[in-house]
Amino acid sequence: MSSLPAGLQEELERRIADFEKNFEAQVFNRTDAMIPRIKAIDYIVVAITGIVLTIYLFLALALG
Amino acid sequence: MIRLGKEEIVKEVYFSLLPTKRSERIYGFGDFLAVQISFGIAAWFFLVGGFTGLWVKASHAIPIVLFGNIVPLLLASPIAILFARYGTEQFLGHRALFGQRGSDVWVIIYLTSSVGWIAYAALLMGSSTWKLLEAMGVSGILATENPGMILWAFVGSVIGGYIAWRGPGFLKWALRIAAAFLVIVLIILIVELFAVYGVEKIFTTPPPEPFEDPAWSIASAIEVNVGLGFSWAFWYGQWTRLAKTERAAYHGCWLGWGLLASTAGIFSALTAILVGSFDPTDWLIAYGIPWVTIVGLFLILVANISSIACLIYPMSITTRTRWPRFRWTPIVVVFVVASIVLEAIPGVFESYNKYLAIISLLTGVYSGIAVADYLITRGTLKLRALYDRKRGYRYWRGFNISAVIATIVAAVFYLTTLEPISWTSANGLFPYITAGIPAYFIAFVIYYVLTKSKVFDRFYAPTLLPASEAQKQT
Repeated sequence: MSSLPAGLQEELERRIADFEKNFEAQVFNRTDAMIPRIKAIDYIVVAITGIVLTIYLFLALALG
Repeated sequence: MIRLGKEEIVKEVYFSLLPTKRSERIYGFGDFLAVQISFGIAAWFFLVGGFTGLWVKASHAIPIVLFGNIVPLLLASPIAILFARYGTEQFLGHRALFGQRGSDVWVIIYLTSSVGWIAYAALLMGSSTWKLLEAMGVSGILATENPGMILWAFVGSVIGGYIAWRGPGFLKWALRIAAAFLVIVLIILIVELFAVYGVEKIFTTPPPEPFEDPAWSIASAIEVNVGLGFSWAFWYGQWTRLAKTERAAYHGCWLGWGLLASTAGIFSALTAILVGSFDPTDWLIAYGIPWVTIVGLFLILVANISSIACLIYPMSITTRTRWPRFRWTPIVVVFVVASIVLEAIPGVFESYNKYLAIISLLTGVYSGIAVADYLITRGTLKLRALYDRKRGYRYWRGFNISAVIATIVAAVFYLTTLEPISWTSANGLFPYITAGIPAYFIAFVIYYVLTKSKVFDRFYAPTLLPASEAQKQT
């Protein structure tokens, strides 16, 4: 970003280079990178929650 | 080469566009819960719960509030992960998806539409404060509807703006205290409600202002709740860039904004059924017990001021990320002033359901496309390309055609199914289906199919590249 104020451009470049060097490969390999990665179980918990709430709504409406 | 000092770097990380490093991540799971509860419990939940209670009975209102506010969040929450992974602001990260100019369009939509949220939080605070002061026998202009309500709304905007101006470190501690207070008081008030009126009365009292057709009551109640549920889609990345883990970002957001903040919606739905007003303040006054009135007033003050702070901080972050030369203080002031102008316009407070429907349209479509892209890319982006407006993530004239088409088709579907201003359905599908969730899936499917089929491949979309090739892309 060439429009950045002086100093900020250099700090941004340092951070991007650091990420590319230390974490980018892990991100593309789908392993823990800068912070621990989310797991499949997290999506499963969310999916079950959604299904339960949907059933609850339909039951409540169906029972009047 | 000019090097920034440590203090300046910290300032730029928390108040500007620099991607956060691991050591700068200050929000864990508990902090996300606190932030999102404080952000979530505010005017929007009290008002949306109030409308729900006016339209449907309690046995329908409770599942509608829970479903409408949690399921859209579950559908949109993969957005949270992306920005925790890279530490970037949300709309900067979505340049990879919408294109450089396409993302700019969403920034403008986000910033302009969000001033409405500040106004609603401030106006409910103003409405509650003057009513409760009057009920307590206080006289003077601050205890009048006009101009007392507007003046209190101005005060709320200014205090919320000040807290946001202090930044995420201050917010973190302020919101931990506010969140604990809000949840405890809401639970006490709900228990008190059931203790005084009894389960039978609450569940047998008919809704005070239903639509002529009961199906319209149910579908409208679902729609406004879904609108609020999807509305959080604009607010993930500005917070989750500070997350210590992806899991904290993902679960903290939907649990805080959805499950826990829904208590405010359920509370106001039940009070609306009993009192016949969408404003929970009326119940606090009708109840007639001083401690309930005073605690209720504090609840609404804390809830709305903390939420205004939670709105202005991410809006300011997004603005500085897109336009880094703007200074932090003037940006915060601009949002406070813009909200004050909106608060002064008559009729804004009463048009909340229409505002929610418009927000539902925008955020439902936005999150459908964003989650479809997350599914395709599995959240693999080139950090350097996000910041490079000339060479990174180039699409046709700065717009990803697949995203544009998905947006237009889903928006047309939404508007023909439910026209938010007149609250009518041109194609007759509403109330048999609602508009927000189907629009999400239409946007999702169209974007997914167009991107996977590479129909617009010649417009150069790096998100189409396999991970191994994308990694080599500069």
